[in-house]
Amino acid sequence: MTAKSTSAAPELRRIRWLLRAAVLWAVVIFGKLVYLQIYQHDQLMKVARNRQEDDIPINAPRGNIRDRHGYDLAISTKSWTVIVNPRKLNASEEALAAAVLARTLHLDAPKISALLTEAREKNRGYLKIKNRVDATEYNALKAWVEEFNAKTTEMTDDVEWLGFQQESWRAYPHNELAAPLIGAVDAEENGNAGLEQVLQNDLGGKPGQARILTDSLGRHVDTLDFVEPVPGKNVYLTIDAQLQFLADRELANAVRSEGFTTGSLVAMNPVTGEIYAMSAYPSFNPNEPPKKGQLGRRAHLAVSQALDGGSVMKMMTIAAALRHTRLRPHSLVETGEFRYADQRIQDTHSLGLVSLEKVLWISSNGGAIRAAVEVGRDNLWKTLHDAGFGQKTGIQLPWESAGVLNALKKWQYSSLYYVAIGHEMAVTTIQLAQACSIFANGGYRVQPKLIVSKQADGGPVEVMPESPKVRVMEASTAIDMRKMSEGVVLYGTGKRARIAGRTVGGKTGTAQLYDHKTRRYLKLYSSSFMGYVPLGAPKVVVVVTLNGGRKYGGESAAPVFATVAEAALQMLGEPADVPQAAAPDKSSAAEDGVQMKLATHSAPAAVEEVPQPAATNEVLTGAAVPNFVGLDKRGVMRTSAETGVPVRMSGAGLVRSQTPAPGSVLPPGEPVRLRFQP
Amino acid sequence: MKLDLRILRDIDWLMLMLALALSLLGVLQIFSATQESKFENVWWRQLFYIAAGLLLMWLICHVDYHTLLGQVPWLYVLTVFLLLFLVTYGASLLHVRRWIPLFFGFSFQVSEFGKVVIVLLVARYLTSLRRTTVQNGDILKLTGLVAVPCALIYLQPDLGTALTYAPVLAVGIFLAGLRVRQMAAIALLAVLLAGFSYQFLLRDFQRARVVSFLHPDQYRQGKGYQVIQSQIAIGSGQMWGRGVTQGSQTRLRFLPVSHADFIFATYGEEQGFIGVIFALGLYLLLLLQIVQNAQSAPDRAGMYICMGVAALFLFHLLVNVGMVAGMMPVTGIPLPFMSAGGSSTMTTFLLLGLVNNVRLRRFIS
Repeated sequence: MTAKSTSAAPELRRIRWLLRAAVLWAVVIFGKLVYLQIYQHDQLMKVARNRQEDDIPINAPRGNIRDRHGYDLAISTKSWTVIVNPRKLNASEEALAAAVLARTLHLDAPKISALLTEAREKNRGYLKIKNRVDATEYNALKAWVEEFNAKTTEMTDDVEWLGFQQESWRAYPHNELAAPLIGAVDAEENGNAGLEQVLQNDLGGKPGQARILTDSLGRHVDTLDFVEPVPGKNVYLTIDAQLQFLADRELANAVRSEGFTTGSLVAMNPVTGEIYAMSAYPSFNPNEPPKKGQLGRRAHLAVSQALDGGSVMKMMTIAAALRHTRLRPHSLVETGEFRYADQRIQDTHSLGLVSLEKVLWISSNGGAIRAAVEVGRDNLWKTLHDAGFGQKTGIQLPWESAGVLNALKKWQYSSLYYVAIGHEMAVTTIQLAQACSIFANGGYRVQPKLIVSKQADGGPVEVMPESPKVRVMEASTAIDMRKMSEGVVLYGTGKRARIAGRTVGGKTGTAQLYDHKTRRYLKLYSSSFMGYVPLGAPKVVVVVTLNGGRKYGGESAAPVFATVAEAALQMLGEPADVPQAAAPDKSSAAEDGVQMKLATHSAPAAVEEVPQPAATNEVLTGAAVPNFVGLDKRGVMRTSAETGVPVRMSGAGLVRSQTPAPGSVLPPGEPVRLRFQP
Repeated sequence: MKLDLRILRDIDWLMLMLALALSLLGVLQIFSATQESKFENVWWRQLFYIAAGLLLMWLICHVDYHTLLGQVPWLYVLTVFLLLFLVTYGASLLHVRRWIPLFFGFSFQVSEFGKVVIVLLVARYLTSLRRTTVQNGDILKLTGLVAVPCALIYLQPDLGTALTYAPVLAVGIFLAGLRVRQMAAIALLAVLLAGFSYQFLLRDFQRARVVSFLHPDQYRQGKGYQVIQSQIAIGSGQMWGRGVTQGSQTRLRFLPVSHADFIFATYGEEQGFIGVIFALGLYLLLLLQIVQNAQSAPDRAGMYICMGVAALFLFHLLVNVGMVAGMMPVTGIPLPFMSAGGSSTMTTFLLLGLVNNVRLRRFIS
């Protein structure tokens, strides 16, 4: 023992030295381990995650757009793009691949074969075979792949050269129908026009996300985290597809046949603001991508195009006169050329003194301007502003124009005269519809409404709130205007707007277009008609604007109004409010000063100026019952007094029901029973 | 020679238990790292190798290490001959460079068994000197003897294994009485040699490994890939690890050869810092136990053998863990006991057998 320890002593000392050196070395490495595992952990973990995990967005299915009856206007369809990775395709498999692809996808085999060969020779890694492959073709191809893979042995590979990319594409089954309204989507299915754009958040839903684990070769190993996409909501519009179809067609026909360049149309419920149809011409096919530089043209002209209002604005002027002056419908107003300073404003009707209502019927510039002088600039401006001019209506469409209604301080001396007849201002068709509804609904400005409800598949129905309503005009003024405007159709400029069996009111407009470049009025018009039916309690307001032609509103726009309004009433199931067979008393109607009654019979729309056969001129045994529904007591009294229809009232508030129904014939000696409810 | 069961009573059980514990950790980690891969059955092969290694360990204890030292000349010649054969004809005849195929698909790696021979060679040579200091001529002679198989292994090419012979030599010479001046001269020579080898002897891929070790970030997807992935794996383990078979770096095959040379990285990922400390603690105890056996060796020959084995293990351990932690260049050096591999496992236990051999004779001579 002693001998060994002495002989080994130096070595043992050296062993200790060695151990110290080794410990030093170990401590350094140990320190690094501590550093990596404790201090750098978070960062390294992140690096690891980045390499191993991949976030894949999962597109949410886009909601459909449907009309008020649930009829599809825009739908999203699942489709696939079939791709081949030519690098993974052996030359020997090429014929097989071409044959299978041709058979399942209905393509030309030699063509595919040539494509595959070319791609392989150029060593491409990606070859698109066909896009928008539908489910049938996809399933057929998928079935083949599964069959093939099932048969593979260890010697042969599974089909790795074939790939599918699932995508969704938007289809508009009716092509141009309501296209400017519905809009379109881009390649990523994001709305880029119309409702598709405005309702992107509702329609698009919320994309989900899958966090997948990939191995070092990028293969999908596992799904760690899956966030289900929130599917887009289906949106139900206030639109009636059939009416929309008719409106689109009539508007397009009118623009083309009457020599205009553009046009727009709005048919809307004056009480709720619901829009039944909203057309623009020219339209586009949303199934096709926009041509270069044409995206902007996908705006809806009824909201984006503001033009001189023209004579339709006389409705506002005369309404202001009824409200703010002592002028009544029968008050006499001077017509004829209006002069101020060294300027003159022409009037095609120089009839001397005529009643205020006739000023409206014949659309006298001089009469309207003289009435406006009585009204005064402040009152006129306020009336127009209250009616929504110069402001966006807030309709849910992109690129809405606020139009132009200059602030009073910007008005020149002569502005009052021009604004009185619808110039020095610009209005959109939707603004006109909103303003026209004020007369139709008894004095309320109602925001136009396009959406009834939203509902995700299987989700709760989300009913849109009622459009905000603001009283901007006294009911009596609105009703007076309605009555006066019937004469426009019966005796005035808007005879072509007549509808058989319906009481119609409205106003024509023909504004000379102003060229801002040459600072001159062109010989081209913005011709329009706005009106409502039936007169008693209008169910629909229709505004038609045609631009860039040479025809008057009464000639070109009024017939479109008549067709669309009639169709709208049919759609609503609204019974005729005057017997269709009855013809108006033309001979007396031609005379000035005829007492107009709500029960006046109107002639079939197609016939005008031609004297009606007298044979049908029968005298009814009783008066036709006016529509009292929605009126307050004062309105009822006024109507009763004016029509000579006796009433018996019960309850308080507004008229909610009446017997007999409006339009029917009142038995002699019987009153109309009205039930009021708050 | 009669098989002696009494050996089982007298061997260093603590050392053996430590070795077996590490081996089992290794098997578990191999099992975990090879889940759902083509190496799925490696773990039970590893169990077989451990069993075979234990058998070899027991067998070698029967032969007195002095007898073994006496066989060094022909063992050395045989090793050099086999290595020479592999380098010259191995590729063309057997399509191998490192392994000599045996039976049932098993093959044996000459350079691994060469480690045993080198340990014995160094022990024998230094014991024969019988001085308290070592002469320059002896250093050169012994270095030359060790350099021949090293060079052949380097030519395979297997720089890593070739380098593992060096610590045995270095520790041996140091223990034999190396003086400070000699040490300085050797250090200088080593630096010169390293520079020279880097310039002229290293192959491109080896040079790339060194460069990528120095600047791993510049070679993220290339040569630095393994180093970075390994560090990410270790780092992901944090304190408690991600659990058996839960290491994502491993499971997703970001970590190359995760069951062999980089086993410690996956171990670090799945068992965390606690696991790493545990394993390193086992290694430390094991090494101390070997050194303890060296200190209590009956003679200088026994001491040299034990210290040679300790040097080998320590070198393997530090280089491998250093590599995994990104502190050493990537060299194909396995982690003793834990890395999967037949020849290396069996060699490791054979080396333990040498230590036991020395221990068993401490009261005899």
